[in-house]
Amino acid sequence: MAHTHVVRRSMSFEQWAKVMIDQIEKLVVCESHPTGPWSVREGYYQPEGYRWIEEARTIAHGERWGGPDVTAYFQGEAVIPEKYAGETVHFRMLTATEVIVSSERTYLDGLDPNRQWFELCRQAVPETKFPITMEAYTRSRPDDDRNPRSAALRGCVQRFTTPDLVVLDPSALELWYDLEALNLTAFGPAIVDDVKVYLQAKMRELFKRFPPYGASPQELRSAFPRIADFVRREIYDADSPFGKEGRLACVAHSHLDIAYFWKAHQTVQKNARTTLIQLRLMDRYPEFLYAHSQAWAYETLERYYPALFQEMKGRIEDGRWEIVGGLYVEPDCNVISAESLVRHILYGKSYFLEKFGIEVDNCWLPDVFGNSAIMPQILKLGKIDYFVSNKMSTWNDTNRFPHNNFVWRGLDGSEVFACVPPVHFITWMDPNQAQENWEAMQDKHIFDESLQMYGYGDGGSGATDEMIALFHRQQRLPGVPQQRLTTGKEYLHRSFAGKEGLPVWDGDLYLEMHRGTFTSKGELKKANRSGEFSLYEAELLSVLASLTHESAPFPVERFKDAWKLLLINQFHDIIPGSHVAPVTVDAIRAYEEMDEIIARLVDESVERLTERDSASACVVNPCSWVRGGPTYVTGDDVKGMPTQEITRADGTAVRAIEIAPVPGLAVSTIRTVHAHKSGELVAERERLENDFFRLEFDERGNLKQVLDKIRRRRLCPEGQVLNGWHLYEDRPGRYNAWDIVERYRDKEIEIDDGWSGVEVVESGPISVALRLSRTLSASRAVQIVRLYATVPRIDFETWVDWRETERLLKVSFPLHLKARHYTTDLSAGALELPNHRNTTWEQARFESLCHKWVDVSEGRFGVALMNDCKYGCDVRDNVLSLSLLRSPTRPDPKSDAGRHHFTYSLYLHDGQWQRSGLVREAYNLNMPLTVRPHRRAKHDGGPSIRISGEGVVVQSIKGAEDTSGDIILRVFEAAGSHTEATIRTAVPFSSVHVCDLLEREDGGALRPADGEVHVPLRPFQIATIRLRR
Amino acid sequence: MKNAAFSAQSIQRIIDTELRPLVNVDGGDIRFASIEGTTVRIIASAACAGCPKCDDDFAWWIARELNRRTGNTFDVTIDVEHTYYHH
Repeated sequence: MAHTHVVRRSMSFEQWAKVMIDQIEKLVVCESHPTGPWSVREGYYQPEGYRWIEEARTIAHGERWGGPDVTAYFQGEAVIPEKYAGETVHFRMLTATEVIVSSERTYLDGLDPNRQWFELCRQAVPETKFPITMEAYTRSRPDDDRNPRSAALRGCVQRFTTPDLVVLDPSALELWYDLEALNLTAFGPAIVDDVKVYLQAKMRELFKRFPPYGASPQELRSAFPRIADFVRREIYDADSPFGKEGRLACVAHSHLDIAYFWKAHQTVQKNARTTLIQLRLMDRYPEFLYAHSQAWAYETLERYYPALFQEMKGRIEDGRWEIVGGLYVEPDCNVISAESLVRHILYGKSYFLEKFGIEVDNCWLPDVFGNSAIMPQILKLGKIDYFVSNKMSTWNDTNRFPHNNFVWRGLDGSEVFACVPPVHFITWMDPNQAQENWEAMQDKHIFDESLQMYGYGDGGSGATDEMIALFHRQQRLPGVPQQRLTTGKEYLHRSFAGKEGLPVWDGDLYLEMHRGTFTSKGELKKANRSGEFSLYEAELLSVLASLTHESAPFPVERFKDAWKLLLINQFHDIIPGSHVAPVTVDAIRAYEEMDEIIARLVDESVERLTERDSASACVVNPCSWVRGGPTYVTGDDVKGMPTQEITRADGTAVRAIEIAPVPGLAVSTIRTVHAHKSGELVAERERLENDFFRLEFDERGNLKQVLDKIRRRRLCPEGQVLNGWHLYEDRPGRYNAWDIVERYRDKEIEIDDGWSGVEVVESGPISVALRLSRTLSASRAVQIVRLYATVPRIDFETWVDWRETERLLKVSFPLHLKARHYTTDLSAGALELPNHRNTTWEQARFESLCHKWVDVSEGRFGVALMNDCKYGCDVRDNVLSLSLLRSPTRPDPKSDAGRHHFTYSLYLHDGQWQRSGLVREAYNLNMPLTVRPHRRAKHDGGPSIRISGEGVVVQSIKGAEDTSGDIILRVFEAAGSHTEATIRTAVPFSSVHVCDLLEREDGGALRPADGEVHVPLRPFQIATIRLRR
Repeated sequence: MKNAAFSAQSIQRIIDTELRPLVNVDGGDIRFASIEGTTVRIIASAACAGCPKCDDDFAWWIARELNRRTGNTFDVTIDVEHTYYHH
């Protein structure tokens, strides 16, 4: 019988090699001298200044300090001893924390688990005193788990390691780097076997040049020349049978999560530390280049660390510090709206142009969880031609993303050059990482070089001396890809220039992972959606106010402040929900601050657009189309007008009024209100009915059937139930907030079949409704199912007191129709997806992204499920489902616990969705008409701006950023067909131009005809128009 | 025994309202389990459960914070509650 398994008990050569190399490492530090005494004062870092929790106290070696989220302020003294005269002296501290080291207000360098020393001075003069300040953040959650050396050091409580002054042995250090590189290659799992055999044989010969193990340091040092000579002659310069296969372009960067396992204010310090470290690396290594993204990071550096900012600015001018990614932050690219993405580009690129005179032409998003199909167009409109994101190649759970460098074609046909590097965006110059990259690189017949990002990150940190040393060694080792240091821009331009026959990926970059982020942290999703629409409406009103006789300039800076609060919360670990609990607290506070700014701006605009009239009320229609219908008011605001008492699902009391149709993009006085005969509406415990629908309920409040009275269609197959709630066990493991795994369907939690409370609560004349209530495992829910006299949609206004743990709540609508496709709204355009699971690509998309709606249509009939704050959906055959709530336990153990108030809504239509009125109705749901009591419009003659056209939707109306008083209109084509937008204004403009997202003219002037400007739009095209005053 | 009951309530309040939010910043979680004499027993979970310092060092911090706020000299012991996944 053959041996199938041998347990090795004697030391392997690999283990022995490590022992030999460790000997050299021990000789790197040849002298040390203590520093001190030290004092510490613990506090919580705020960019404006510490919040101290104690007075300063002395601290001794080994003494504990710290706690969760603590930054400690150490002060001590380093004095050069006599024995260090003339030496190059390093400051050293072994630490698991993140440290900024200063001396007399001069930033020296940074320390963290990835680096334990930095050069303090050369040609040291004895008795020279350095007062040292160290700001150390405990960083309990190491962002660099991937570095095995740091993982064991972490923890919120630290034991003080007294720093010392050390003198390094340069020859030991260089030799150690040589041996480290050799060791990683000779025993690396990714390295080709033949290369490893070759190098291991060389190492055996090499170790013969070492003295016997246990030799004295002097004896070992005396062997350095012959050891180094062997490495040079027999390894680096040897004529090996193995060449350099493959080419990598290495770009140093440091991924910086604005909030994650830390709060955003802590990131201000992380950013400063990272910047400091990279600047010092630039001082030491003339060849070192570095790339840094996010305008927010540069803004905070400018504001709170001006000295570092100026130094960095010098390196930008040198061409060694590269600004990558033109966006304000690295946002989530699934759930944010098209206009939000526009503003990331506008405020990001504008900042870089203003401060540095640099126009960034790439989008740098290594860590985002997939990318919407609307992006290529928006990037191109922002003069961004290149896109970089890693996750599709390294995190897809089902399909291998088939390209690394390719053309990404978006919804409207716009194309950008895209790079999805084959490996993770955090690497550390390990030869195995280089080899993995090159082996995984695809389309080598077109692209001869792969992109390798290197540098520690998530919480910053960046490149290290060791990485630069390993880089140089790798160039001289056989069997490892050739590498060069460069910038992101250079790599992207070189890779794509002049290339033909490039592979094309058409559509979205769906990440087969992290699908739970469509739904986690429902309160943030709701605040984001609401904020996006509120900002749109507020800007519109400000523009209208600026066009009135009592003109006031559009408040550019105040809107920018409000937008930035929204944009920061769109960071790819905030809005997706992948963060610790206090980040949500901060995010909510930011939304509240944003809402306050918006409310003030709206009040000011309304004040200018209306005048007091106790007998009137006025209504704001923010959409470009004529609208009327029900809306809600509070209190005694509309005396004399027919109203209906409403109790909402969350228990608040409002009154509904019916608004007569009013022009779009205008504030209008409410003159008449439609009243409806009660007889047209039916509200019974088992039936709701209006002119459009009959809803049939069973005795448990289950919706058995919806009869479309106009189209004579029954919505639900016999025996099934619409609006069915399904609670699933949702246990994706460690990536709890991030992921939904497909097997969630295997375990549906048994809940009550139906609603325990059913009562008629609205009986017209504006709406009829049932109030349903139930318990749901540990949670409670109330739902108002509502029909309107004049609006052909069915609302399910829902309130949930959500107390679950690792559960996913979905609502499903089995439909009596056959649809081969389903369509999801992407905020500006819609994506059609196959309604089958033939291939692994469809199977992997078991949870889809949708914005305001998802639609399934057969030839002459369709059903859409709209919503006011949800983003996850799935369609399986004839069942349409919306993800309502999740309850992950990591990073926030109580994520989503609390009260949620949201609405989903059914919209039935003729034919396909494009001409059905769905797009407009979804906007109506998300942007209800708002009533201002005791006011009447100053200008009831019609809107100042009219925008029309089939399928045309207004995305933004704002004042120009340059405060010229010009108006910026942004429209898009929503139905996927060529069309024409017609713009008419009551106010004369000197000229009209198409412009880019930075509001710069881009093309010739548009010539008005008969007072109208016509803008042709291709399918899903977004156009930005500048009206010059 | 009356003093012990009062101390338990105040300790639980301190842990829930003052210390737990701080621990949450790191993705960790703690809750009060019991007090016996001057020894407070804490249950640590979430990210704390997977941390190598969730031992004497973390107990030291909790005790320090409790003692700062109460003027007492409590000791702390920690029981770790693991999830089905590694934190």
